[in-house]
Amino acid sequence: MRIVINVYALIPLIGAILMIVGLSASWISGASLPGWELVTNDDFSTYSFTLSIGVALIVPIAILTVVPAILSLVFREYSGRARLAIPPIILTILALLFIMDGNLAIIEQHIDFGGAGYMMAMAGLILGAAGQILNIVMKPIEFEIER
Amino acid sequence: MSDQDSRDIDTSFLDRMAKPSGQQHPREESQQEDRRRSVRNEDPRAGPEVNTSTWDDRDGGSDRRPFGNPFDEIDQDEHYGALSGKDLLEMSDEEVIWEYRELKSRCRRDKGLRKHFRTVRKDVDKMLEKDREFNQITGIVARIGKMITVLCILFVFLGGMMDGAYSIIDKPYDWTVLEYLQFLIVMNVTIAWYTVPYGSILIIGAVLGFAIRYASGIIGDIRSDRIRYRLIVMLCQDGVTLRDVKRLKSTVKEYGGVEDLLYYFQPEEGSQ
Repeated sequence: MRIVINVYALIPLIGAILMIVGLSASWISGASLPGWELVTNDDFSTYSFTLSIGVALIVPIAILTVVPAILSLVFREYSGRARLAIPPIILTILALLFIMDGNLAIIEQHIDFGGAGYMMAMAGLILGAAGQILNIVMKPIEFEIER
Repeated sequence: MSDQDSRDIDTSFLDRMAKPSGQQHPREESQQEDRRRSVRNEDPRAGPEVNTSTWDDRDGGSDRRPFGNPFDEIDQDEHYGALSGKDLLEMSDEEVIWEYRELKSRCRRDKGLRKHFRTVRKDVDKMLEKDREFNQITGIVARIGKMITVLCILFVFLGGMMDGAYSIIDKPYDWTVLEYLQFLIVMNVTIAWYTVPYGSILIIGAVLGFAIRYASGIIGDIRSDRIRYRLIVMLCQDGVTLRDVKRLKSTVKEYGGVEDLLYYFQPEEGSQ
């Protein structure tokens, strides 16, 4: 049996997993508050409103990142992957802006961003966008596994 | 001819070219051995009229070898390795992708071919885009999805703006771009969700419409990719563009789909 794996399509998949894991992990180390709690918190004023928007954007980004990655894994020369990669990349930039904005405004006050979730989500966002760009630009590296 | 008799030819390629045993041409084993011997003795530069052995492929090429048969007298005049439309349609996706990659790597070395490849790819993409939009079911579904999205977003934003217009007045004038974006995207949707009648249904409709458009676009892509790479490989190999084909074949004006166009690339019945 011959299995062909496109390495550049795996990077956004790992990024998307990191995003989702990061959302459920603790963002604020002192209060041990998960990222999703920041979004669903009714009282927006407790934490930064811009931060909640940025965190909320991670879910659609993860979904939009996974789809083209899986398509280029299954259909190796899928022609629409460049077109599908544009929305998640734009949303990633927006989410990073929102999260950084909320971060900078609030970090001096009472929230400590030592949580692992924050780091994981940031790494996931950057890996996802970089992997998408690599998947479009670079010639695919493929490993063939013969059994 | 005596020195040709002593030529040491590895005839294992004949076994590789042979069909699987299930599809084997009904022939005696001894006859196959005869043919092997005659191939070993023949002059490779001479045509089939000199060489008696013909590794026959007269049953219509059912063994699906893409490059034709070098010992077949029908293919002697053709450029060796040229793929006809029929070959490409019969090839598996893996083989076509290999051909496409090969073409792309040749484009890296050859500037003229690169230019030609880009023209062909652009034309084929445009044609397939048109095909997907107008001819296929996925195109119609995509249009419906887009219409739903646009209508829902329009109503959501209009309703949200009307209900939230007063709240913008309270805001300070020194808003940054990010804050305006927030209001447009998030606050507007929040206001519409809670205050506009059927606002939540409209928002869910917009998301669903986008999903329909997205999914049908993907399905359309996958459907047309099967044809796309075959057409590009075929046109680049023949050194023509889609415009040339349209100019040469006046009937392409009534072109109804990719299948019709591919038909013109298939070898004519009389030539076989």
